[in-house]
Amino acid sequence: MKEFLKNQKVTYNLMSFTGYKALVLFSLLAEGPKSYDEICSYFLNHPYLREKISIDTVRVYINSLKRIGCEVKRIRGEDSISRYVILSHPFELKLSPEQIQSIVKVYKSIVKNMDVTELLAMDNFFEKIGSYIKNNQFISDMKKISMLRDIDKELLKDLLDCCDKKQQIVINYSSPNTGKKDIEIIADKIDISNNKIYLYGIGFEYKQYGSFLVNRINQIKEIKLQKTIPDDLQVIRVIYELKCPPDKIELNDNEKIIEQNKNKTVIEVTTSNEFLLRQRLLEYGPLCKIIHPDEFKNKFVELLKDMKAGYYCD
Amino acid sequence: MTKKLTAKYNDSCIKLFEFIKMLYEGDVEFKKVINHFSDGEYNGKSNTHVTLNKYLNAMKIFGIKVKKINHKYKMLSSPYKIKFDIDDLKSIKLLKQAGDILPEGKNKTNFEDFIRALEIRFDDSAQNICRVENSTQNLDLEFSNSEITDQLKYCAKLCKDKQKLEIIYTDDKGGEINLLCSPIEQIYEKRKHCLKVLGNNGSRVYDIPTDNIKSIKQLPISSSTQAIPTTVVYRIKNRLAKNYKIRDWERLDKIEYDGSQVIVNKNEDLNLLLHRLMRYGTQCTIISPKFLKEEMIERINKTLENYE
Repeated sequence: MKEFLKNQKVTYNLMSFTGYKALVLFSLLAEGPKSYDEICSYFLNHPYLREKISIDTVRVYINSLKRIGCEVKRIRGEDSISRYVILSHPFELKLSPEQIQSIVKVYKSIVKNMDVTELLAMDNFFEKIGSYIKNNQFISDMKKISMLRDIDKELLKDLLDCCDKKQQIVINYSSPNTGKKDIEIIADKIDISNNKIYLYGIGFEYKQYGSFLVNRINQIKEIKLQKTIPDDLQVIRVIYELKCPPDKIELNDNEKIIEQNKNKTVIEVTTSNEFLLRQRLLEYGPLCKIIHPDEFKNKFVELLKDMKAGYYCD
Repeated sequence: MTKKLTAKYNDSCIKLFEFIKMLYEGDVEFKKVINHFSDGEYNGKSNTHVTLNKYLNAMKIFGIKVKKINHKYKMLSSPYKIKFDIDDLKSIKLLKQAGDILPEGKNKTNFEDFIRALEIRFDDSAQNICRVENSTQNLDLEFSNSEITDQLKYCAKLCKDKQKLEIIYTDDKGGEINLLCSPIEQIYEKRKHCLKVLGNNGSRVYDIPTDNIKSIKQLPISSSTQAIPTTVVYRIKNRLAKNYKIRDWERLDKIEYDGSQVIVNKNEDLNLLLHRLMRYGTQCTIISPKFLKEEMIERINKTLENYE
């Protein structure tokens, strides 16, 4: 073997030529239909073989491949030339129903932890595996688990691209209240919330940052060449305090720390969507105190009082 | 069929391919291989080992990588390859990490066999990407963490032993909590590895991120098998009811005349559930159990105290 590595020459002492030829023929026929002449020419030009192979020897090898479980077929093309091809072989990827069940179980355990790009990659991966094991049921089983099951993947890829470039786009959207309509937005990000996939961005209709369910987006009708931020976009700046150690804080893109010590962090957030911000601050519960502005703070306190009242009304 | 079996074939070709078939199924003992190539007549003196070397060399030159480790032959790359790109490899890695927390048993074995079946069929490019990744760890999968391996094994043991535990961990305020509990399973929650446990009173589920655990003491008491996690019932209304997506561990109990919905929730960490329901504001109220309803009111009151 050392000699081979040095000069790339093979000898009968070095390797089994029969075994090697069988492997070459296997890979040739697994690749696609080959006529005897094509096989012969391949063997003749092969750097290690450099010899013709008789039709009888080819038949013997094919019989051997059949014996080990290969399905070899001879087909006659329009040119009336016979060609051999391996339709299936024992080395193909196969999955038992029990294995499929286990894969489903594993996928279920992480699917809620994945982001949209990972979900897309996983969907494509399972489609690939499904095509190799020739099992459409496998693909549909995996699709049922994925949050992308009722989403146009191509549209999602395009939306992700628009978000990367922060493009101003017009989408056609099926609103549950107003029906189909065109909405102009500056695409920001695609994210998962409440087990659903949303497109986030600044909407021109309500002049605020908003979220749109991706499965309600029918198409991207237009990608604007230039961005025009709405003049009357009402952005508010809120300052809040979080009473927890710094390592427990996860900031959003629109947030920045303005003061921090061991147990307390003061954060400034800028947003045009008060609803989304209120949801975020409510989740923190007693850990969070809004400092500024008073108007937002008072509305928040009213909301908390209404929430409390809800428990005493029932 | 008869014609096929009587047709002339090449015995050494069949031996080689059967050897490859064995390698696809797993590592093969040297003794089994040498017996295979000598038709079970290897006596230590024949030259079967020379023949075997010739076959191994033929495979090597063809591009099939076979390594002998601890008297066993292991196939590292196969004659039949599948092209996997970097996204596929990331998906495989995510699945592998999720598979790591499966308890020992049929599911784990089946899943590991699937991963092995894929890895053995990696094309050259996929193998190269994996080699680079293994040497530099530059594929950031966020919840990829080599240090976690020991934690996973330890948590798997705790879940298997089914003995009560005393866990000290830090909560979201950074305070230390001392919890007597029974281990249930390992899960991933918001990309963090967590140990799911059932509180000592047998009703409250906790998903404790392993990073927050300061110490675990296994107690010489068996976990109760009769404990049932608390069922939480809550009502959602208005826009939330229209858009709410029921979780795997929830069911819709009924839809009221005003469109509000009653949801039944089981097996969710109650602390995380409170955080989530608080987020929904006035569009959600807990109906039962009473103690959780009171916890929610207390949570609202404490938040209000910040503004007094």
